[in-house]
Amino acid sequence: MSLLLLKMNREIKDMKKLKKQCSLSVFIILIQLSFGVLAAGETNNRDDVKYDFNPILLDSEGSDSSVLGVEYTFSDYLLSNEFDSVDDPDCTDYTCPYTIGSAKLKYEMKGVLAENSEKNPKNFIEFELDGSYLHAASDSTVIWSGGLFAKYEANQTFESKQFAYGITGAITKWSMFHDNDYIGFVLNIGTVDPSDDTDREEVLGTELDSYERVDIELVYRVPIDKGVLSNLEINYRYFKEVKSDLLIKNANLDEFRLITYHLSFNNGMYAAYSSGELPFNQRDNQIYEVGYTYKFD
Amino acid sequence: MAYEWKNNICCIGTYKTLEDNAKLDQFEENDISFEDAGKTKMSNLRYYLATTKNDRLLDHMSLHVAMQFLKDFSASYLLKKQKPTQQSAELVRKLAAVFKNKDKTIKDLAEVMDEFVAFEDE
Repeated sequence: MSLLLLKMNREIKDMKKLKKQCSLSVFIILIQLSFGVLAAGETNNRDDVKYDFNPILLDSEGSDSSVLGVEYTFSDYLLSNEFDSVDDPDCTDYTCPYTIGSAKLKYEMKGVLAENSEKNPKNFIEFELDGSYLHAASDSTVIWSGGLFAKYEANQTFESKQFAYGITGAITKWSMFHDNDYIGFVLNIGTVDPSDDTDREEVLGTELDSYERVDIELVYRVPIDKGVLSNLEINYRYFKEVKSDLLIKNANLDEFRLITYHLSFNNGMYAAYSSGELPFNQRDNQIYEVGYTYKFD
Repeated sequence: MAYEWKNNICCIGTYKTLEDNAKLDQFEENDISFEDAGKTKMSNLRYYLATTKNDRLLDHMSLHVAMQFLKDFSASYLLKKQKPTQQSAELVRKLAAVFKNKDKTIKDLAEVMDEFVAFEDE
């Protein structure tokens, strides 16, 4: 019996070692990929290209101890083509009409590598691929863009994974109801593979099928400029699962909405109020906690 | 050499375009003086979105502000090209990159304008 236990223990240790090696190998490949792109070097002077490494201390779940980790972000363009207009040769100043067009394939890779994969409460990898076309013109206050997206995330043991992909489109307008206000609308239609969704797991059991989802984000920001008030921003996010299972509907997991009000003051302070909830795989994108948030410097 | 925030047409024009109530109206003169404006970050201006991390919305936002900034600036100042080969769309892209980055400053905006525009006091 004790021999059997010893053997099992050794096998578990070997498996853990293998997982660690596997996650380390993936991490090294990711670094090489990023530095490969960096070496290609056409876009690394852009402001939205990032190569960041930061050491962090992680408070692991269900344990009093902390573990050392490295937080990383790589973001770059795999493809970037500009279709901008060329100014008339007679135009010697910057009042000439123009159009801006961009076709981009951008990736962002971020996550946390911890010294002990079992104690890493964060995502080891979040990989997002975004291909889109954008159009803007000097004679219009409307900008539109559209394309495809794919997102994969996993923890360091690769036991919890999620994958989502689909089409996306956005349209925004400047000075619609008020001078210098901004209104933006984003629509995503996609498929979600919910292998790590504990909320769904409780309702449906361990076998989770992928499902279709439509989501929108609507944002409106308006300057107020009255007394101490600077501006008001409202953000509304809505998620609706298409043809959802009755069990999911009954558990109220087929529909999510979150609304946030953000009021800024001229001295840099703000107050925010959020109500509602985001679906499981979107909770990292929630900026303010539900309820009231204040930032008084 | 690092760009200097100073009392010239480029910096004054950048400040006025951002501050003027009839233009972008991004802050009040009482809150941010000309002397302090150079180090003011983009995230402290009124246009900067606070409730989203959506990169698409931030891209659009920065382009909108850049286009309006150039339009308002050129309404009060002659923005003659430094070189005939420079393009309006290129300038807007450079300005939008500054407007999108919350840590960039008003001085960085002026630096882009100075790179593209031959101001009358140069």
